[in-house]
Amino acid sequence: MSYGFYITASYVTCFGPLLALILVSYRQWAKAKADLAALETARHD
Amino acid sequence: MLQALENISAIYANPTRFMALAQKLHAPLWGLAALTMAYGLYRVAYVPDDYQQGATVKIMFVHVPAAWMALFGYSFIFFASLTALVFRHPLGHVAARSAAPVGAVFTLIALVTGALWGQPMWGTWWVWDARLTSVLVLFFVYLGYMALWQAIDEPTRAARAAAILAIVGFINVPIVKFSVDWWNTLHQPASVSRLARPALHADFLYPLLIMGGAFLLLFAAVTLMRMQMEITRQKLRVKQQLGQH
Repeated sequence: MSYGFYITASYVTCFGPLLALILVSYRQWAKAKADLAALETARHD
Repeated sequence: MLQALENISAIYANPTRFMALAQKLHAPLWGLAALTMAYGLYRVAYVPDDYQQGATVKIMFVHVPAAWMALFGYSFIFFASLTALVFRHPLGHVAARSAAPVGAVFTLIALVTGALWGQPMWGTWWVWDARLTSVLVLFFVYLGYMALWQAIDEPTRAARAAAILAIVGFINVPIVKFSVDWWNTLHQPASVSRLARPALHADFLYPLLIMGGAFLLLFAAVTLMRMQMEITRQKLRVKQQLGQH
């Protein structure tokens, strides 16, 4: 295999998991905020 | 200096104040991380080939900063856990728990990109030498730390057990760092940390340091976001428990 394969694979396996981590963390945070807001709204009602 | 740090630490021990600060830091931190990463990648694109490694030297600019963050992440967890256990800082456990998945991802990246660099340079994806093995152990310690948080239902007990594991597991960090000096390894010794005379030419050193800075900012941004998430989840849990009584 050429050097290009190893370089491309390195950058993909670096930024792929980093992007996934950012997206998963953001979704978890957004869900926590939405759940808290829903609970507070239910309390007021 | 120490007094100033204690004062700052005391002010932001209050989760509400911390959340207000985190909200202000959120956008600038992400912006700075994105800009530094873009500039780092731009510099990497124009790095010349190495006289021995050819173009594969470009793998260094993701592999080495990821390995730095793997060690930094665990050191952060260690100090946060120590702060939580010794000084009972309310955000210590939150900070440690939030940093764990971030550190684990960086460790995984260091392992995989290391294998992708090892194959063309050493002729093998993996060898059981001291550096590679100790980084693999570090990855398992990260996984064990995260699993322990999940395994215990009662949050106070989980936090205490995880903090003890984090402190005991820190023994592996100096082993990873000095493994290349203590044992004969296929992995090369440190090149950048020899500050008096780094073994890298400036053409490689500066892009590497910029990428290191970008990874550090990214670590800070994701960990801060996860800390906000953990505090929100704690609030939710408390309100749910209050609602049941």
